[in-house]
Amino acid sequence: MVFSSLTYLLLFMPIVVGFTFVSKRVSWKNTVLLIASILFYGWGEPLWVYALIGLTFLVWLCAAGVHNAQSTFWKKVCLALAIVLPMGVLVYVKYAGFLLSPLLGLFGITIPQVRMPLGISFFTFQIITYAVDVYRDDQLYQKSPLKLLLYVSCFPQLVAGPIVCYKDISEEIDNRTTTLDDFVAGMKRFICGLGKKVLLANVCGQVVEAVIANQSMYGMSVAGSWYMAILYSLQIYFDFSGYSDMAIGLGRIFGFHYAENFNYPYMSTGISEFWRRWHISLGTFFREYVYIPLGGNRKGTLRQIFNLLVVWSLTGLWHGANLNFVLWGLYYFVLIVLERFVFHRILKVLPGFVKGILTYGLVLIGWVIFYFTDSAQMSCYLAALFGIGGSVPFHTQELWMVVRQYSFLPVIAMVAAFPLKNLFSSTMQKCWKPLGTLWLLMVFVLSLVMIVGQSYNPFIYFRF
Amino acid sequence: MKEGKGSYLIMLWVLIGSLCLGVLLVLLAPREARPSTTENRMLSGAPELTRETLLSGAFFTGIEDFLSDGFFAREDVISKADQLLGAFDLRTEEQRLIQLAVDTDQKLVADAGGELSTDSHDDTTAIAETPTITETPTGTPVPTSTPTATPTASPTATPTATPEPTAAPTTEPAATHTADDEHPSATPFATMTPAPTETPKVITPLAADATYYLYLIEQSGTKLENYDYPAENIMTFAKSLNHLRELLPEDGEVHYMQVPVAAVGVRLCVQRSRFAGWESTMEDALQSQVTNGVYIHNAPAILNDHLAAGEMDLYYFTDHHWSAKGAWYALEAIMQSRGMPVVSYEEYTYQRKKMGENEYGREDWIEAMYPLNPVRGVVLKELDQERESMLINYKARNYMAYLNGTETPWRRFDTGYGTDRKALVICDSFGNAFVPYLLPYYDEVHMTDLRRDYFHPEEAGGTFSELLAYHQIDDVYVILSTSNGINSSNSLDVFWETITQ
Repeated sequence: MVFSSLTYLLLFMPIVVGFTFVSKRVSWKNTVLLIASILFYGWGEPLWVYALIGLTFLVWLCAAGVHNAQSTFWKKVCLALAIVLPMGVLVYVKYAGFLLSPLLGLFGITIPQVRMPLGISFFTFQIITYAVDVYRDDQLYQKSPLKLLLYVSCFPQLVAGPIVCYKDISEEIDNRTTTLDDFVAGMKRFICGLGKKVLLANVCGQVVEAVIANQSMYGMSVAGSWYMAILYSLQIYFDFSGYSDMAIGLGRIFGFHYAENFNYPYMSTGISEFWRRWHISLGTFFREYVYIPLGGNRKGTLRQIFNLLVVWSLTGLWHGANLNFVLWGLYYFVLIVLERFVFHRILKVLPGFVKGILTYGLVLIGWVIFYFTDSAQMSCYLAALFGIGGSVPFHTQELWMVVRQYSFLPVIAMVAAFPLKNLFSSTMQKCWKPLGTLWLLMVFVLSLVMIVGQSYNPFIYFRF
Repeated sequence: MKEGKGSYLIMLWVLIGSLCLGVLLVLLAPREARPSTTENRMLSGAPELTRETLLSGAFFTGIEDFLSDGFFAREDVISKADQLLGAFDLRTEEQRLIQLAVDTDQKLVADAGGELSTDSHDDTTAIAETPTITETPTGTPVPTSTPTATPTASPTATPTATPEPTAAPTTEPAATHTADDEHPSATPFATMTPAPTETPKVITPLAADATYYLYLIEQSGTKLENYDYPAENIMTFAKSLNHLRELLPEDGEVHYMQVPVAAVGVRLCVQRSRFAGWESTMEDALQSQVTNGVYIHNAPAILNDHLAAGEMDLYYFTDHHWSAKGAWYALEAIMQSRGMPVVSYEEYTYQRKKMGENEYGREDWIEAMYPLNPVRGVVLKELDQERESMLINYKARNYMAYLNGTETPWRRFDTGYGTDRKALVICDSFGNAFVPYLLPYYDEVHMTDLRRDYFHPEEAGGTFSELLAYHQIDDVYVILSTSNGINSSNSLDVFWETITQ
């Protein structure tokens, strides 16, 4: 099930929220949430729900081994098992074809295609964080496998994150309160995310497709390629941050306080800063569970560069089993190495807005690499961005038709990608508060209207 | 409480309202799949709950489709959504129409399996030469750049004395005769001269790599390839038409017409300064591949003169269908090719309505005709279970006016003309505007839509050939738009599979 569907908005959410609120005790609330989460996941993946439950139980057993082991050796063995088991499943369903097909193909062996279950990259990482957290802090061991299953399968963040570390949420699983303030704030955040997804991301996606179709029909142009990249950057931002907003809002309604996943990434003045603002939970995971255990920056520059290479290769691969995602990860590795070790002195003296524009431009190039899974198309677009390769005109008449057709939307989306509310004084914000709720009500109704009318409704991050 | 009571109440009511809407939808949404004329697809009904659908996930996706397709006032909601999206469109009306036409056209080409060509719409791309003309043993030139023997504008195309609108349709067709009495009698079909006995036709296959085109012709004479038809597809479809002919009585006829959708027609209308007309070579090629008794009619050639004469109302500008007038021109050409008289367009009485608002700001008009004789329409299920069905929905303000849209699996219109012949129209929604004008020629006009998922033998009460025999069909008219015609899987695969069952 997806949040921006009629089934979810008109049936599932009201029923689950209603049941949660009439449940007095935390254990009842947990039971309602667990049943709802299994139903939510089983709705789209009726078979994989068993895998989710089975994996969670296996990791719970391994963590119990970590908890009860008398020696460090056996603790490590159990931890290794807790990591290898879910990673094995992830690698099999997501990467086996990509990694092994070229080799096995030489011997005429084909790997059977397995449909990738929704959100596997997210819940695999969550399961791993639990095992590692228990290894690091024995107090975090969860005696109840059902509570662990609730942590892993909790539907607000199950299929598209944010990746919630077990240590951040363990306390709230056992002991949490939900207030009316939480309910209102959570609902508002959810509707805000829904609006971002349905009204901005989906429509930006339509324009991206229109621009790409236009360019394939009438020929590439420099302006058209940048326009596509800008629109796609807005689409992916609103798509993913919208989903994160919905997840955080829902979590709040049910009494969980998830950490923020986005912080206006397009106002970054450097690549490192961009990644501190973009998909924060993924960055946190890789920092805490890969980069620091590898030694981080504590073992010299060369080792640090190697650690960065590992982290960024994995970041790229995490996004998908395709060469373009690996290239995209390596692209950021190169940029970050250059930023930290080569151009850091120059970057210090540059004005903030110049660094901002430069960063956004580099991020846009990254999104072009990210978008095209077909390497020929990708090269074509990358070349067109800089007018390389034959006579690529700066613009075409036909492109302006598309620009005129969707004249206002990119402007709205671009403005919404920056922290507008900070421009208003706190007094003005107070005055607007009642109107803000009505505004959100309108956003909700408009989103419903668009969902009914939109056949185009994919969540980009589901494939990860 | 920081958030305030008002906010709390609003959010609470958002949840309660959503739940009420959801429950009402589940209870009231139509449970059966039904065709949508405006969307050119089947709308989902309630999904079937079985072990297989549960395990495959089809049940769950079916629920979402069921809720979405059954949403209250869905078409209005979608229209509002479109208006919302188009609210800040800075293009001029002409630019919008041209873009709409080009985009729709391009999508159709892509949907039909063709590749998006980077130069198919390029002004500078000229088709230097038309394909070489070759002669088949039967003497049919294939392919050729000139249209097939298609009647030019007939005398009936000239407006004749239009009768005053009457509250009720006339009961005697004779009352609609024109002053010079050259036009139809009560049973126009009876006046048809018998077709001469034909010798069996020798069919020479088309060259496998040949391609036939729908061209847009620029004022300079340059021909732009708009739509291409591989010979293989033409021969595959010809096989189906030939089989269809074999299912009919000895004197039965099959007539096929493939109609370009509004996207192309609108381009011709809007860009008169650029385009002089259009031309299709597919029909001649197809005619060379079919047996005696199968007749291919060239819709672009039929409509070309009228478009060239500046008639802007043969297609809708805000809908992908042809208008009633466009459909009537097609009927006129078919009947004249059969040597039959034609009731002129103006002889019918019409209720004229402006189509519903749309984001393109163009005024389109629905002309809902009154039949010459009272007509009874029924939808047939399981062979003979009848349900009343409309010929014209006078309340509709869109293409749904004609036949009240598509209804499955089988329809019959009892005309009362006493011609002693029965026709079947196999069509997509383009047939809906055509059928009302066909009525005077037959006792019964049957209809079915053989696109994927539209026709199920279990629901219809028999296989296609069994139904053809049961209803004693004499002639078949196949009227399809380019979306569902040659090149589409509906015509290449589904059509064959259905008629050979």
